[in-house]
Parts: sequence; structure tokens; C-alpha cells
Amino acid sequence: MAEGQSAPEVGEQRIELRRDVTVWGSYMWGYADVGADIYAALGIVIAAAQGMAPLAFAIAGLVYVMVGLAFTELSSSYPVAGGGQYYSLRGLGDFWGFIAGIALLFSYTIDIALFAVAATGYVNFFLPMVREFSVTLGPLVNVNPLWCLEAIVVIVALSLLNIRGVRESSRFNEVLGAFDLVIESSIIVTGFLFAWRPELLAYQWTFEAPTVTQLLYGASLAIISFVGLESISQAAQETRRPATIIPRTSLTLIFTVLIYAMSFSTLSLGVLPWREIAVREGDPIALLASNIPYIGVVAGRLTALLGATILLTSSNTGIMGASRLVFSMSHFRLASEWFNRVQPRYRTPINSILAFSGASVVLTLLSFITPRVLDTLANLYAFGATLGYTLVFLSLIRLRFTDPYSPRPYKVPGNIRWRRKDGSVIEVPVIGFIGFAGVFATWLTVVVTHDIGRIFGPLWVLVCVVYYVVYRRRNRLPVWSSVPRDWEKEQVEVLTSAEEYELVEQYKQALIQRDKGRGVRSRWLEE
Amino acid sequence: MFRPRQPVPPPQRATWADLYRIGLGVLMIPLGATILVRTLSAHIVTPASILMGLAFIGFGVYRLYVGFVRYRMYREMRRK
Repeated sequence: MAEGQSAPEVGEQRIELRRDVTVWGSYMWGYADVGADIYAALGIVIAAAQGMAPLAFAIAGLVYVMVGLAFTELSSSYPVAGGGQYYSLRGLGDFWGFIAGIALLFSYTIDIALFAVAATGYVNFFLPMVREFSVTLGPLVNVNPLWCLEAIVVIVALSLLNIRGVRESSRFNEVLGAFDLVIESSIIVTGFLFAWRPELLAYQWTFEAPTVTQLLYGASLAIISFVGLESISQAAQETRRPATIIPRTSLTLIFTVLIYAMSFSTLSLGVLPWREIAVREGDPIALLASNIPYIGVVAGRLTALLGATILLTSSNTGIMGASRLVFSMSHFRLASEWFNRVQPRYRTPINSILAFSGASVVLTLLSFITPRVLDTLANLYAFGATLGYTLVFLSLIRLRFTDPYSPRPYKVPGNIRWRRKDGSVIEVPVIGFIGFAGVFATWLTVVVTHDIGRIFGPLWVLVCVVYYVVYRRRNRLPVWSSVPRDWEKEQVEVLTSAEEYELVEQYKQALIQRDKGRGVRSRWLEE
Repeated sequence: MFRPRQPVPPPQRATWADLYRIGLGVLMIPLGATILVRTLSAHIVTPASILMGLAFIGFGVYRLYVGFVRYRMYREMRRK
């Protein structure tokens, strides 16, 4: 979170977040979130896609680039906190806004558990006894209760900190992200120069190739190494001149993260056999770093320390993201205000923090009784993220038709201009359609190949839909249709608060032209 | 293709971030070249390593190009 920002207050007028985030701050905010993913994803993807892990990352990366472009357009056009849930609400209406919201809430809840487990996995780089410890409890074989306990302690500690109103400063993210970039770059450069053996990679690529199902499973898991882009759109409400800054930082971030993910997978398989990495799912990058000549002794430890810190930050982002998202949902009457009850002393949303942290503790416990804890959590994480992204693509496409008047400082490339009967021109996003097909196919792959994700994911959606129906009926709100909202007024207010005065004028002019074409007096002429 | 539509203001001064971008760009080109040379000299070509080599070179050239454009904008602003 940016400096000075605390949890939004409820029951009063909506609080404006301070616009304090610069170009570098926005970039690092995203990087501290997305950049951490590779620390958790590398081991599980290599375990699934074996010698062709770089291909799995490339397939997921292709989808991710399109998701990234869609988020760049939407977050620079609608610079408000809320991310995918807000875009779906505007583009597809209340019900689908709710579905996108719960899909992303699911992701955030898993995010808390997954990154807490991964962070403690890197801590265990220093504690091999804990890492190797396992017990057999009746039908449960090779359970590691110590690692499980560590992860739960981390989640509880982070929850308490959030209840006390911890502020994760933008400066902290900048320093941590910059340090991480330097370390990761050093590992890649020295690794490729001194440790990488192209013949080992070629051998594994050729003779240790996975089956098609394993490759698809690996690709659907690899998508988690790119999740977190919505943090830039979450930060949009706190970014200075978002229309100018977001496209620049977002595009750079997309390609940086992609090149790092591809580099690490290619480097890993040229340094170590995939089986060695697969058995060290908890700390794969530290293992890789410690195998680099000259710097290995120091780099391994430093990477483990940095990995633990950055993953801890990501876990904390999950707690903050969930409470912020549920606040946005409650504001738009998609969820009960119970979630936004504020702790009187610290003014933090205690109920949502406790609810989602509690759920992540349960998930952590359950995942530790499965054979591979990180794989199980990643399995679930991919379900929520891909479902949310599918709806974001649909919103991108629909908003091009229903809201062509909002200025778009950045547009997803590859558009076909279509002149409608009323003379207005729609730019149909071809990449939006391809991206939708790609992410929907990934979601289907998750449903088909993820044994746990295909049960718990739809179950979560079903339970939440029942809750939504009960909540909306109780409050005499339409269940399947939307509450009428003045989006035009909201858009003017959002752009004004972002100090994008030029865009406000452009928007008003477009609305005036539209009304003129319809032969009605525009409400915006008076202003 | 990926250029933001909003005009980017000229830089006021060279920042650490600019130096980092240029430094990384300078590093990426020889790194990409090394990966390509080592891959091709091993006589067993995998698409992943060729792609990585080309990606590093491409990204490095792009970073240097961006740095050059920003420097030109800065020089023009100073001249005005």
C-alpha cells in the first residue's frame, strides 16, 4: 500500500486514497507482487512439465501477455481500486461482477496460504531438519507438521499485523523490488555464463519430455507465476496521472516478468536435472542459486532470505487485497456490510481480515494432508485466477461496445474498426477475443487436469452464488439483473480525482456528441 | 505496437531507474549472444535456448532504444 493509506472506512462517505505512487513506485508495486510468483511456481511447474518446463512457461506467458494488455487498457481507462471485479461489474453487470469478485477473492485467499507456505519453504533452506521432517499419521503419509505450523504462524502474525493497521509503504516495495531485481538479474547472468549447460537442457527437453496432459497441467500451473497484475490496477487509485503512468509501467512489467520466468526455467534445466528441482518445491530458486559457481555459497543464502521476504510481502498482499476487494463488493452491494465492520481502535476491517485469514489457515491445514502441498494450493490458485481473467476479457470486449466514450489512454493492439448504424465507431479488440479463448482454454485445462481445483473451485462458486441470492433477496435487490447506477457521473468523478482533466474534457465531449446524434439535450452541456 | 497513446513527458534528469534500464540493456545483448553461441556450438538445438538468446538480445536492444529516445527528448527539452 502507498504511504499513508489505511483500510477504507465504512458507513461514511467513500474515502479517496492519496495519489502518491510514481512511475517507479507503480512498477515496483506490481513487481513486488508478480515478481514473487516465480519463487513459488518454478518448482511445481518443473515437477509437472519436466524437461519441457520452458514451453509450459511460454504457453502460460502468451496468455499472460494478453491478460496484461487487457488489464493495462482497463486500469488506465478506469483508474479505481477494485480491479477485475470493478471491470466485470461495469461491463457485465452485478451478477458477473460478483462472480469475478469471488473468483479473485478465492485467489487472494489461496494467495495468503500459498505464499505463506512458500515463504516458510525458503526459511527452511536454512533449516534442513524442518524441511526433511515428516510423519505418518494413519492414512496420511509423509506429512510435515512443522512446515505446516510455520506457515500457520506466519498467517496468524500477518493477520494480527493487518488488524493493528500495518502499512506496507510504497518505499518498502520499491527497495525490496529493486533488491530482488538485482539479485534475480545476477543469478540469471552468472548462471547463464558459468553454470548453464545447453546440452543438459537439450537432453532433458528431448528425453525427459512430459506427456501432453502433463505439459498442459504444467502450463496451467505456470499461469500462477504471472498472477498479480491486478495489483497495478488496485494501485491505480493511488497513482499520479494514472493514464500516463499505468501503460508505461504495466507494459514494462509484463515483459520483465515474462523474461524472468522464461530465463529461470531455461536456466534451471540447464544447471540441474528436473528431478532434483522437483523434490525441492519449497525453495527452488535458492537451490538454483546455490549451484552457481563462484557466487553460489552467498547467492543461495541471499536468495533464500530475499525469497522468504518477498513471498511474505505477497502473502500480506493477499490479506490486504481480499479486504479491499470485499470492501469494493460491499460498496456496490454485492456483499454484506458485515465484512466491512471496522475495529474501533485501529480502524481496520477486522471481520474480512479474520474471515479470509481464517479460511487460508484451513486451506493450509488441508493442503498439508495432500501429497504435495504447494501443488495443491497452486491448483486452486489457478482456478480462481483464470476464472477472474476470463471475465475480465469479456468485460474488455463488452465495454468497447457499451462504453466507447470513455477515453482509453492505452488500447489493446489489433483492433477492427466497425461503424454502427448510428454512425458511432467501435474498435473491436481482436486480441481481446484471442485472449478470451486462451484464458478460457486455460481455465478448462485447470478444470480437466486439476483434481482438487475442479472440485473445490466450482464448490466455492456455488456456495457464494447461494449467499449472493440470499443476500440480494433479503435486501430487496435484483438477483440476476443490476442495480441502476450513474456510470457516466462516476467516470467523470474518477478521472477528475485522478487529475486527468484532459480526459475528463474528452469524455464529456464524446458524451455530448453522442447525445447530439440522438437528438437529446446533453446533461454535460450545462457544466 | 505497444506504445502507450498518452504522450510521455520528457525526463527532467537521468534517474537511477534510467541507469538501471540502460545497464540491464547493455548486459542483455552479450548475454543473449553468449546463450546463442553456446547453444549452437553444442550442436543440439532446443527451441527454448534459441528463444531465450533472441529474447535477451531483442529486449536489450529495446531497452537501449528507449534510453536513446529519452535522452533525445531530454536534449531537445534542454535546447528549448
